[in-house]
Amino acid sequence: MTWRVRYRISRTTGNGSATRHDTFTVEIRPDETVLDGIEVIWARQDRTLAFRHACHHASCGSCGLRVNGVEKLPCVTTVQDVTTDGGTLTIEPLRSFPVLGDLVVDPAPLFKRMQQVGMPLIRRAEPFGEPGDFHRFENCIECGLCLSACPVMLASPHYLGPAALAAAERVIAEPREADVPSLLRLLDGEHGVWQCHSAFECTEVCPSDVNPAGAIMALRARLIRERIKRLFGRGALAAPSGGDRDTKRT
Amino acid sequence: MAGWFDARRRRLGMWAFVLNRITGLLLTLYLFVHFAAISALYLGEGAWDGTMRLFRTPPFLAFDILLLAALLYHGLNGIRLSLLAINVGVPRQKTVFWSLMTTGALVLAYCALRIFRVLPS
Repeated sequence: MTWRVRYRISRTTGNGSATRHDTFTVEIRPDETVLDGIEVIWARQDRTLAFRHACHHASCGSCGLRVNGVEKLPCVTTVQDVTTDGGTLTIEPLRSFPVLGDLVVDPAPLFKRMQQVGMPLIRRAEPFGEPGDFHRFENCIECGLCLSACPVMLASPHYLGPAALAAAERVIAEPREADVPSLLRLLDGEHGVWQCHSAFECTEVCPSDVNPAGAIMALRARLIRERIKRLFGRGALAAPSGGDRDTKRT
Repeated sequence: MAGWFDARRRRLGMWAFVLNRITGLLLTLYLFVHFAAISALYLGEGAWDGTMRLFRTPPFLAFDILLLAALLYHGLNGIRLSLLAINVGVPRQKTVFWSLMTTGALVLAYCALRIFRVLPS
């Protein structure tokens, strides 16, 4: 049993050029994914359609885009999750990233922000279970959905954003050789945690249980404690930093 | 900036965010309207009494209720945001929101009944 679904896809050549929407009709099973439909369109209807995909199981974060205005990974979003037989899917690129073409965005703004906070790769904070247990070291797959969903990112281009702030919270929890005082000053700065307005959309759209909003609130609590300690000449904020971080380098 | 006010298909937190901004703007605008209204004092006792009579008519009383609703929403959501900012109640932020809004609705209902003099003073 297949459904007849219309895909209304954003098209552009990038570099600020005009955007239009092309509509394609596909016959697709309701339990197939939104990405399956995009791939069918590319294969059989329009080979000029540009989009990203890789793992097809929410592990790489490459395929992130907006489906009917909400950020999703189309590789794990089934058609029946987001529309009905005869319905229309509006497919658009992520917000707050430069669009290179059609559904492809430049992920550099995300990675630059992650670099600023130290971009942790492996977390040891979780206890290890029985030998042979599968152990997920790091939840964030750097898909960028949270940056796209964040309303503050639309108005403040230098805001560190949910992904980097959640990553910073993990650096604070497991610093290793990281310069924690310097990182705390960055987070306490103009484009750090205080720019969050608690919309919680980052946590809602995260496909990987990172809970960026929760991490931001935890960082705020930490910074408040550090500010109180600094009044008495103690704490990480009172300590000299090991180096400067350029808060505007995003 | 349109993204700031577009909460379609978004969840509770985004709706709360958008309504906070809308009520904030409305309350700020109302502040100037309020200044203009009370400036009737400069025109003498007769003008002031006439203004107060106008403000006691049903359309203006209804406006007072809408104003109170905006005040209650903005203030109570502000309490929620203040708690979240110090990492209190974050996992239960939706429950906190609905609890505060229920309280606000009850206060609003009571005040509306008093404003329209349904309840005795």
